Amino acid sequence: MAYRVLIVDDSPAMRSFVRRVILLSGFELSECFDAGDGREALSLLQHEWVDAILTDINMPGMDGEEFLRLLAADDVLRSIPVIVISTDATQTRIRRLMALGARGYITKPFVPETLRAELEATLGVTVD
Amino acid sequence: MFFIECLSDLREFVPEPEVVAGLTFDGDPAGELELKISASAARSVSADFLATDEADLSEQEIHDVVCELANMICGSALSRVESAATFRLSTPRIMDSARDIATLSEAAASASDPFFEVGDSAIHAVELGSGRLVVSIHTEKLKWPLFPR
Amino acid sequence: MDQIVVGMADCKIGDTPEQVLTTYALGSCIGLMVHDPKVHVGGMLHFMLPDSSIDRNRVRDNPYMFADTGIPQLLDEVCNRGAVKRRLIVHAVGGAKMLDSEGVFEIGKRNYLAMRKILWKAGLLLHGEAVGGVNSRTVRLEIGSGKIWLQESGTQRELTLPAQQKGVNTWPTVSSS
Repeated sequence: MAYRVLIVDDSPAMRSFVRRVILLSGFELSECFDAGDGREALSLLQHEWVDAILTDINMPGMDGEEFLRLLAADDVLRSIPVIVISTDATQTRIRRLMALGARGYITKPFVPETLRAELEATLGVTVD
Repeated sequence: MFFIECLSDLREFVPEPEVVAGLTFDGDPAGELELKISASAARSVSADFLATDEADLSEQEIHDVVCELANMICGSALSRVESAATFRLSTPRIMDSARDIATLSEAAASASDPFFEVGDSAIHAVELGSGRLVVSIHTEKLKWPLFPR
Repeated sequence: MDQIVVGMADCKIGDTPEQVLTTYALGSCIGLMVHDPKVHVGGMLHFMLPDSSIDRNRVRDNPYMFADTGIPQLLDEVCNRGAVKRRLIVHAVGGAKMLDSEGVFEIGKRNYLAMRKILWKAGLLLHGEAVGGVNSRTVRLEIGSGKIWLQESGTQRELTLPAQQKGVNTWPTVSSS
């Protein structure tokens, strides 16, 4: 099965890194969309469907938390699983984002295997 | 992600071309971080991060990786700070060594109230396999706030 | 069972189901194991140092001594015997904090870091690891099943379940499922 994913992060280097981890984890991607912040991501989601979103928190314009809040408030978009990738490792932040509906939370820096495990748990499959 | 191996603290300063990234952060306390890395180390670290050959890297790609390194170091450090407020980090940018450092300090100062005293600072410098990395983080403690935010 | 011993700074490939690759006394060294479960081909590398640039002459005699020359060699050899890189299940054991002959403690950590960098650049993720700590380890890879047996402090345990089992990972997640 080929997946469509959206990577939201203001760092092009980070988007590239995450994309590589997804591919090396064995997931086939039919589409891999990029967005630099929450606003850009929402705009893209108006006309593209994705199977999963991976988002940073600290971004200019609309940050990840606001983005998650808007996704949760949308009847259609709220069903897309979201994995948060952030340097913020505080329990306050993590709890808040999980309460907003994030399916997984990864603290930067991370080993690729952690993202693979989150993807497998979130997408409900393992890849061999 | 960066595979950075710190070999030792710096013994002496040897001038060489550098890449400098800076960012500011709002929060309690607010402040700024500056990261300076030798150009050779920047290229090596970027090649590792992006899993490409050093020769195939563009200057933009190296800048992007160094900015992300600054972001990660700052974010990780601030995660350990007990704070009532959540920290907001600005997008890091590559700076022209001498001139932009002053600009960064001004930006940080104008974001806080006019009267302040320098709070905690930390500078950490290490030798990497392929060069040198210096991180300095500077926070400002408010002493006499004139205009509450 | 056909036991094949992998020595220090050594690498062996197995391609028949009754073969078992074994290496002993992994202190700060790392045993890196790769296995293709579809064709039952696997390899084990026992390397000692992270970076061959310290001794280019030694590399010519023995590329397996260093992570940066040994790991690409292991991958080449295992693929030459029919394994497909994309299918490889990868495990690492060792990298402990040991007092080596120069009294330097950090070789284990540096070996681990070098290995992680090379695996990332080669496009491989780990499926399991038993690294760090202060104990010496012995490890066995069964070519037929892909099972890895780890011996540490007098006890033996299986490091991994066969690749056919779904939903198994050793990296902690925060996710709600």
